[in-house]
Amino acid sequence: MVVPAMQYFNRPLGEVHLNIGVAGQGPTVVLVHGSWDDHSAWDAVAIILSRAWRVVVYDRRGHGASNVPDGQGKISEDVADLHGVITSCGDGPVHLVGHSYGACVAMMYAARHPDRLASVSLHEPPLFGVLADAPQHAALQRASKDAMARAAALIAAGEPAQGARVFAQEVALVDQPWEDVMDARMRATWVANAATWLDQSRDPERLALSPEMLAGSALPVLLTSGTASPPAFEPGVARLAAATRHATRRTLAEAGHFPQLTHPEALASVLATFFHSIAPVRPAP
Amino acid sequence: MNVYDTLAVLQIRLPDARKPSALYEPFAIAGQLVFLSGHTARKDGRAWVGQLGVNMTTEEGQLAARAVAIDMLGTLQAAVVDLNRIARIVKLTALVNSSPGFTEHHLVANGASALLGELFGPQGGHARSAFGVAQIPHGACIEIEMIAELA
Repeated sequence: MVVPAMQYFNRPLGEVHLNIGVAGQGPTVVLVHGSWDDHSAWDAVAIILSRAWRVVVYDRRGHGASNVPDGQGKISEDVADLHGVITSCGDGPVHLVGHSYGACVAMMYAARHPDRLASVSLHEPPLFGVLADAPQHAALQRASKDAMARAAALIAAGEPAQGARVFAQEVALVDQPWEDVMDARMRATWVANAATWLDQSRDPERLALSPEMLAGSALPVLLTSGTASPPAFEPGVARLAAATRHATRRTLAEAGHFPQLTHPEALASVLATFFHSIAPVRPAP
Repeated sequence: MNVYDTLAVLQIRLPDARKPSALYEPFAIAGQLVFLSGHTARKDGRAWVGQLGVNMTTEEGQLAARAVAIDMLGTLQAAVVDLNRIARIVKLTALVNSSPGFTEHHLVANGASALLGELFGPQGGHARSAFGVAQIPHGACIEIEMIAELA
């Protein structure tokens, strides 16, 4: 089986330059990475999907090889960047896939630009806001809020490596050493992107993300979760699933919050069968 | 058990998905079911031509059916990426290019069923139909279609 190599280019989009990678041929799939990491988190999934799809990855602003303008960043800027990526690299309606914070970006994009999409797939968007709605989630909410506040304080105090570790161990993973899930290069990427996460955590706009955002959408939506993920993600995903008309839920056995790193075949398989199950839109003759 | 370990033990290398030879898709996924189009028998990259009861024995037909099963698994892999995600094989339909007097279509189809059993264990067991037909595209000796369920 031939796996086409990824071609990288740097594209200016307004005030940012985004590092974009494209591999494979077929209908376009755009993969949006989450907080702390960069496009390379998708490498294993991109290799598998590029056998049958044209896979587009990119570094979100302030991550990897994409730059970041000064000032408080906003999630709507990430959505605008994604629109730039899709309009410049997409070929017809694309399958959009987002991981974690990248799933928040993808969700907002799907709500604003459904006409550009064939489907949207979300792995555990951190809709921690819903934890405040139910008394039984109060402890979960306190724990994640406290861990994120400590991570932010460490980064602000000039300790990005310690901040990244606190976030990884206490927010993103459960009883699993950071080193078991991410290699040294990926951990270094996390530390390098710490300032961007701090900025993102101060963005008031990110809190406006509602689990009802896709309620009226006609788009096919895939919601994936890992059985070994931190429990703080599930209430938001469950609310999203209940509120979204065309939602398909799939659970990845033994995977956690980072299936693209730990279980890429299983995640790619779930994505591939979801894309295949969507009836192709035939252009009018 | 990992399907790919068994494939390695059996020294089976899966081909790429079969290219359709007319106006249809090689597979379609509806919900948790994967429907594979009919796969005709091929040998050395060309149609495996023959007719049971005329110029092929039941044993040769079984080998052809096994080859079709391998080709179908290549298509199934293209559809689902990871064959370990197959929860079970649901159904096979086998069409055997055969003379009016030939009556061992069911034994010919066993060539495919046995391999699926070896690979998937109890989940490889399936409902099945096998019958004789007057001809098959390109003169192939057997054509099989399959339905599988995803986990």
